[in-house]
Amino acid sequence: MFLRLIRIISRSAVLLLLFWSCRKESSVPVDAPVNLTPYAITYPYYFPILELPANNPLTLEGIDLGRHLYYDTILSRDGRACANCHFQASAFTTYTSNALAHINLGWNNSFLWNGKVQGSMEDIMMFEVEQFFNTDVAKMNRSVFYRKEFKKVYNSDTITPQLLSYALSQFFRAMVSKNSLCDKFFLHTASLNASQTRGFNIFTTEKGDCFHCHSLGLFTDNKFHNIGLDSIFIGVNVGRYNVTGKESDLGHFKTPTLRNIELTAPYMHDGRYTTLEEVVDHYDSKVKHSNTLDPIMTKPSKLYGLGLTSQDKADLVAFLKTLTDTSFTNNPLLQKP
Amino acid sequence: MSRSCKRIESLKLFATILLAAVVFCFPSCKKESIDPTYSKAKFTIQMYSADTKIVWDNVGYSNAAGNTFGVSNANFYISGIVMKSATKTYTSKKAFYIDPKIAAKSYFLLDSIPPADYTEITMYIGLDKNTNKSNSLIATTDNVNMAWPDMMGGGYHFLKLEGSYLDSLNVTKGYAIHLGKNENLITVKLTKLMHQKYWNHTYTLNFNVNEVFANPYKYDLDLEANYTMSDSLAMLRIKNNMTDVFTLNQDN
Repeated sequence: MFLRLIRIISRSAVLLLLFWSCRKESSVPVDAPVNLTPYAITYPYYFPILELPANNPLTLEGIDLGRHLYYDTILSRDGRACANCHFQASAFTTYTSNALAHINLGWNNSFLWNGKVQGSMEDIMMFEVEQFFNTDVAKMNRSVFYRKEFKKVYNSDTITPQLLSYALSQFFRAMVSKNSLCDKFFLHTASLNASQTRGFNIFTTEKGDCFHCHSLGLFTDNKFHNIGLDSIFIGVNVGRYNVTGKESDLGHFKTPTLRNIELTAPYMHDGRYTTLEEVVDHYDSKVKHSNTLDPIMTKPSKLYGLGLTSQDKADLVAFLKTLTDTSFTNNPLLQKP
Repeated sequence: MSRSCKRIESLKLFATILLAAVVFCFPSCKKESIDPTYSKAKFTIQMYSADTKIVWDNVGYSNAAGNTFGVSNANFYISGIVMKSATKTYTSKKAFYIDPKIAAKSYFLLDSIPPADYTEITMYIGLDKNTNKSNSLIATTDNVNMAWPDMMGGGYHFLKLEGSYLDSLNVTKGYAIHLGKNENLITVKLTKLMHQKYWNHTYTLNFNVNEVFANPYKYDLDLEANYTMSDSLAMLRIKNNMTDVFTLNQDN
């Protein structure tokens, strides 16, 4: 009897010690099947570090499930799918809308033109599922295909908005553009021609001063700026003000990536420009003054303008086109299933 | 087996299990152990215009030249930190990215500080020449956004200070004080008694923006370059002004 008591006390002591010593470092185990194929995202050294959530590890099966959802109108109640406005050939946007392109969004933590959704990829996907598409989850659960796939990827018998957001997040994280001519130039495996080189110089010096917001790498700083499109702000043009209510945010919009910019017309939050030449012209001489104009848009001696020549503008456009990545727009992993 | 033998066996078993538990648990506790011979310090940066705490984007502060100005963004690196007491010198080799606008990025932490009454702290605003090389820092989004393009010399921005001011006609204009390049590394030296005991201490570094625009050079935003990155003289003047931009207070 005494021996048994000692054993119970001993075991309890061990369990208690383990519990107290480790509780701060414990984590919720990922309840995912083990027979999945891990997928590692690779990217060049000049990209920021990609942070991935431990509770939604990337797998080929998960990405494929997200891909099916991306192209499937089942995600909405009115026949819409993500792919309706985001064509792969157009670097996942479309000429008929001013939707932001789905490129390298895994590095983002604020989404949409005005940053309405902040947080992780799973957060923005939850917004898409619950608010943008208002997905009929019951309908989703009646799909034999999706029930089987979610069981396989997330070991769940029920499809929930959270799991939908997780699967979509996997696909979005896999939408990586990193193989343009400019990337090859950065990696010293290709050269730019004379015009492209001059354009790169304009881009990365004060002459064009593009690099401050379109940081090399992702070609966005993931911040918000007023680039002088308007001096009076009404309707959609109020930008981030709609989210924060701060007057200083009037006319501020998220910096879009310039990767594949050649394919993502029309430009700006309202699609007001249809060509890259028009965009360059805006920065050169059409910036409008307002009290919330980004300080970076002012230049000594040439306030609100760059003073580019026709050749400079052509060179800048030539460089911008080196950001086109056809391996991205033809990536089989991202194609319609 | 006699009753006493059983008890001895039981005690042996108890002792063995306890010992195993202690040995097993010890490595898992390593991270939480406290070394009683060292202490930590947290330095939080707050933005001021003279004695007034800055409200971001509020164009309502005055500098020595009489400009009415506001601050929209401040991003900079603190590195090369050395604390000295009569008998001890503490050096940190870390570089800290600071964005006082964002609480989680408005401070830096120093650890393994030998307890002492420190009387002096020096630091760089910027990065020393060994670190100020393109891609030398971990590629976080913040560090990538601070890159100083190779076309302009490479490395990183030491400082971005941006905002608006009213010109002589009362029109709002922007300014962008950007510093980079090794010759513009700012050394700050603060003489202050810092009681660094065995526990965690907190300090506040007040960044007085007015000192960016004065001492020794009165920098008039309406007359000087409101955009410094390609202007060596403007950057030199700002560099010289900024050596006394900080004041230090010990909070506990």
